[in-house]
Amino acid sequence: MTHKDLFASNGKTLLADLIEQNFPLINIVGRLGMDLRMGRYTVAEVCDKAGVDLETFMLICKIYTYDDFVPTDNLLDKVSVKDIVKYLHASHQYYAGTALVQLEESIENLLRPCSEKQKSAIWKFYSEYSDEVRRHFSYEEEQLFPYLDMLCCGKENNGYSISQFEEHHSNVDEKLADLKNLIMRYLPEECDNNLCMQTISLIFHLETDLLHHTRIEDEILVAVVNRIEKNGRK
Amino acid sequence: MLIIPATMVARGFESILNSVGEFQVTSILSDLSHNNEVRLRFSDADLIVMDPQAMDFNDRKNAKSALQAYTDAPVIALQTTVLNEEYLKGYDEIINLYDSPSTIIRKLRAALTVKHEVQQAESEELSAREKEILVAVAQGKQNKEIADMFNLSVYTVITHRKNISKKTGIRSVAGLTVYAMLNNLIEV
Repeated sequence: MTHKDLFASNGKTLLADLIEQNFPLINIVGRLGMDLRMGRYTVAEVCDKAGVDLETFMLICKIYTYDDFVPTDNLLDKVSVKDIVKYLHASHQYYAGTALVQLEESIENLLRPCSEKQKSAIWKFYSEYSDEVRRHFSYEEEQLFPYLDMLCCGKENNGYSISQFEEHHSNVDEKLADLKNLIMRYLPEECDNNLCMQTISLIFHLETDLLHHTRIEDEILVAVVNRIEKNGRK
Repeated sequence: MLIIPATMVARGFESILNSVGEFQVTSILSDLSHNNEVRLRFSDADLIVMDPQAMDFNDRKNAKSALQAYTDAPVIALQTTVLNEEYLKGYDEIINLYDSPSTIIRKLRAALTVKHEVQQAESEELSAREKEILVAVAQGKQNKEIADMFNLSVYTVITHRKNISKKTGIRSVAGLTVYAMLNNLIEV
């Protein structure tokens, strides 16, 4: 099956086939509350059961799969903002409740043999990063999502607009990349090799996922909301 | 590696290189479709010769930067037809369809040397000056202050900082501070 058929908008692909082609898509399925045990059903059926808009699901899958994919205006007009928000919200919960917690534990174990000075320097760096990311999430949860709710109901906005989000959209990936390099290149020799590998894979995993997350915000959410603010919802 | 749409031109180029012997064609791509980009990424070619027409019309102006995403190798344009001059900007060298074999080899060598010089400068350890600047950055000093401290222009300080980040792989000030500490350049 070619990729073109895989993401066909009629949703005739089996969920299992989709995941087999690009394993990380499993994250999206889980975050949109879709049932993974329904692998033998078509994507359209699974979406329908979970109450998720098929086209929006496919669009998220494409952004996740192709690094250079940019949706056309036509696709953007059909996007369900509600489902995008649902996805972003679930991602935030995953990052804050699982990914960052795992990473934290892993780093803690990894740094055990280090000197107090080394420990506290790396730990401080990590905490600053993690605080910054969490702040970024709560900003979106508290400012952006309520605004989108209002916008979708056609209510008057509270003076907020998506351009403020774009301004606030700080770049936190730099610090994560630095953390990765500090651990890969400059960690004291006493540290355990297996723990080091585990920590590095957690960082790579988080880094890739966050990258997709940002692309979904930039390429879909910001683009769609800009259009709604300008033209109103069709 | 050659990226040339016309088979006859590609084969002709290959046979010239074969007859001289110094360079060898590792592979030939006819265009830059998605699959080929991936092959390019994993290719170990030292040099790339490309007909600008192998790129999509829209990408031609930025052909060089597009290729840089996939490879560090120098890219040489092979001009087979009359092209808008803009499309030829940014290449490391330009080979003309009517160039003699010796001219072609000379141009290939030139492109290769330039790249090697740049790379050598990149791969070394931090210089003494870079270490001094790194320490100042880790202490929270601004570019202007650092420039005054060492009698440098702000521009030079920025260049040093770029090189430091390139060599260490660390970009944020907080990250550089941790780096300096782990390498015993500063006391915390």
